[in-house]
Amino acid sequence: MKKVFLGLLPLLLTMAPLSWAELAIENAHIRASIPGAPNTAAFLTLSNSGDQTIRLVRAESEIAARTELHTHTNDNGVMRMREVEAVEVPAGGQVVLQPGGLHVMFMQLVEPLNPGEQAEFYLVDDQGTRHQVQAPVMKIKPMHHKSSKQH
Amino acid sequence: MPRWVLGAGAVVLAFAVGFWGSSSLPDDARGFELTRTDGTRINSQDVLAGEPYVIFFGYTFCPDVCPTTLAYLSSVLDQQESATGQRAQAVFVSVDPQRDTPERLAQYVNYFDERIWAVTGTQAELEQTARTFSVFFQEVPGKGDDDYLVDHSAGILVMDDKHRLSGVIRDGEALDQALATLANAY
Repeated sequence: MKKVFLGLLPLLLTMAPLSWAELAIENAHIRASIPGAPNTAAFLTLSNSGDQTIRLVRAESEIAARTELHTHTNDNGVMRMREVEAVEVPAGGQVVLQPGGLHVMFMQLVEPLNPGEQAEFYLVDDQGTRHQVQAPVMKIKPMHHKSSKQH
Repeated sequence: MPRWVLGAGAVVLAFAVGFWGSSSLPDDARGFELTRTDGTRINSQDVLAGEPYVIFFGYTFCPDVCPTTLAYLSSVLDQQESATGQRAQAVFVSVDPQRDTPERLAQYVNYFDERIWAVTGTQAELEQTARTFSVFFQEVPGKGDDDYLVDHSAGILVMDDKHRLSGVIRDGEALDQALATLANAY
């Protein structure tokens, strides 16, 4: 959280009227790599306790050649995965990145990710603030457990 | 350069949507002849004769939906086996022959379930198979030559013992529902 505030400080000092936005990142986890697959994805819950929309415009990491914000849409039974321009977290609102929908996509992992490890990446908002995320690496679980608390 | 996998994609898509969206399914038998990861050619009408099976389409670069489907299907089949003593053969068709080498495909599918068959083929064979099963797939260019994505039909097609389409299991649907769809194929 400290980094968030530090990043926002110049903004807070220059902006009038004073507004604030605070992003909480919870339940972050990243899928352990699957043998043969060079890509993986991370999922998490974003909460904005501030009074301004937070617009996350990109993701960064050192664990993959490219890190992007992606979504999946089910278009009449056809799954289409696309990079999104931004993930917007409304003031007082929550956005969940979960399997089958929004996710942080890691393309061409530098090294395989094993369960039990931690991975670090950043979500960057349109003000340039980098929100650090520490995510445990977890083995994939069947989708029908998705409503349980552990996800 | 990324290629369009299926030039006539829109036509196939229209067909697929109309088809999957309809409540009455055509009762013609469907089959495929593709290559397993060990190089064996298989023809569904021979190796799966008289047996219900499930078939679905994807690719290993897919980080989210394909792994989810594989994990889900594996647990559905485990449940089927413990409830009925029968286990439908599952067939995963890679629609990304350019990047999904046999080694990569075998590792990927075995990670979830060694009993699932992974198959692929030439571009022409895959297009033919997609048409047969009324499935859509199409490459979508990425930022680089090597990171294109592939749009593809989701869902697990359930074939009955005469290899007619008996139902579709949707990713993540309730286990009971999936098991009922499977049971209909027997």
